[in-house]
Amino acid sequence: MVWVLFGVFTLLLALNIPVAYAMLVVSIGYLVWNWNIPFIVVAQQLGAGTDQFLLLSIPFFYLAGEFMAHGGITARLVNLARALVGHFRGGLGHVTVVSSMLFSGISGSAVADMAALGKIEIGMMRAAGYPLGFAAAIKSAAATLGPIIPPSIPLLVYGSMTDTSVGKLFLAGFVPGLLMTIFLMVAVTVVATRRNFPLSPWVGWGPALKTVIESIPVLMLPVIILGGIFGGLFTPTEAAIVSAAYALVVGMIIGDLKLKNIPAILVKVAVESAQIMIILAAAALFSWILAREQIPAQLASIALSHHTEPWLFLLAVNLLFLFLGAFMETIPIMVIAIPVLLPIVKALGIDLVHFGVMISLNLMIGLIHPPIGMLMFIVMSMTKISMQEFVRETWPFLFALIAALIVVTYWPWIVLVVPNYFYG
Amino acid sequence: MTRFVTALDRCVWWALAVINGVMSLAIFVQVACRFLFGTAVVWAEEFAVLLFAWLIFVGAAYAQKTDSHLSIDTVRMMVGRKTGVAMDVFRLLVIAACSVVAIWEGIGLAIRVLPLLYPAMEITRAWLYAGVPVGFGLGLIYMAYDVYCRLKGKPRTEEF
Repeated sequence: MVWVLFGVFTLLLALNIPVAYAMLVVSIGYLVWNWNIPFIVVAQQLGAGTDQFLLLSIPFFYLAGEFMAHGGITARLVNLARALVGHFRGGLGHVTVVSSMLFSGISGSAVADMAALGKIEIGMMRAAGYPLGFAAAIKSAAATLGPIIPPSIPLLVYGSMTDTSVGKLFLAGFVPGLLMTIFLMVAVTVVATRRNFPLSPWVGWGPALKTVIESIPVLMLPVIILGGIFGGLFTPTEAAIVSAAYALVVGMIIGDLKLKNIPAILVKVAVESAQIMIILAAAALFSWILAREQIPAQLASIALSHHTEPWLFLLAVNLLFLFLGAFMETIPIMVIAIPVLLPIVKALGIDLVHFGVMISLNLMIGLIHPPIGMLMFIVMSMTKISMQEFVRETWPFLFALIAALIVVTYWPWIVLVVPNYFYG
Repeated sequence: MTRFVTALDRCVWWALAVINGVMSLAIFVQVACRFLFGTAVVWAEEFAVLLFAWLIFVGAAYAQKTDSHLSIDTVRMMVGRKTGVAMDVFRLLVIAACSVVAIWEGIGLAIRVLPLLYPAMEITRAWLYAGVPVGFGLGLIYMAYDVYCRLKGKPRTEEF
């Protein structure tokens, strides 16, 4: 049965059936085959899949990012990054990485990062004489930081699917996010030195201090989110709405956000959230069927009967996810694979927080490699460069991110040091 | 037909804006009341989660209209025109079949849970499950209009 379910599901995905409907049709087919199960379970599980308070934070975090981006105040982050690292060799490449790291504290989505900062940064690099392919490649690689440094939409989804503390997951993203930043900056330095990219003078203490002060309203957002959650003031969902309200006020007072823009932003966020959530709703039914067939438990016992070592399992999961990431989006992979892998992860004694951050980082790499990397397509349409040029320019950054993935996979301490410090 | 879909579009667009706005406001009011007045708005969480369900189902219908459901189009891009059309027809049939089942069972479940109440709001839980047939129903209407436009060679309505 397991092979039939997954075989039909894979076939439907290949035939361009939307992920949510592929899950629904496989589940309905299963119910037809097992005629003694009432069909009402379809509506029951669809409803149950949406009935989760934690996941309300998805539209709220999207809202915060959209309000900040529409207010035009994300440019302040770019100015701050320029003051901090703009004078290094390949300075604007570093600026792109550091601004993405700062923006990651506002938005939990890589696509939001690309939408908010992509045009400004790529335009800036073009004006300074950087090759367009390099600008596109470093921007898309840097955007992958969005969902690793908290807040993070994939970590929220993972937390809700595995009953893992979202607070711990958010804290666990910090060091891996910094590691990715450092590795990407090293890659920028290597490329910039080899290709002799221009050096810019340092802006000086006065202007640097001015940009720091101007950025304070934007930088307060991650403080509100993380301080609120870890200070015990808010739940993650409440922190998300408070950050959205703060972004709205800041966007209107010091940015260009107007009241008339708000309905369109609300609709955009509603549709983006629905695209993810309808998959999670359909996955509730799909997971119910997997559990009924005891498929996850069977796979766990197969893995254990072969005396699978944790390091080997993590290697296999990474290779599988890198492969799947080449063809599928982040959330669909998570909702399909996590229920199946979870019993094995638990049986092998792998920490759920470590595993969640590892697969999130892995899936971010899928966003920038062919054939269907979402960030790759966005940046290609933004810059009109070919896929060949993008791939040629991306490989140093891809290599840097894979190096970060290896470190995160085999040194769990790096992921767990911050959550263990706060949660004991 | 076009006029009907345009009017429907306008309603759905505003419905999504209002649902998202009110849902956000409900949770914000809950937090604000706790900090400012030390009280809890007991119904806010239930109300927001209920609106969230409607946002998902109506938003998914809108995603159907804009053809923006997450799917893998790698094979679709590689095949010839005739095979591509056959894949599109199959995709529409699969979505239609799933939608009909979801609508039928959603109505059935909503009727069945009529006596069940939300503990804080004291309204029937049928409101939650009613979102299923409404959302999938709207999706079917958008899909039917898409087929109509393709057959007539008309451009699809622009996003409102």
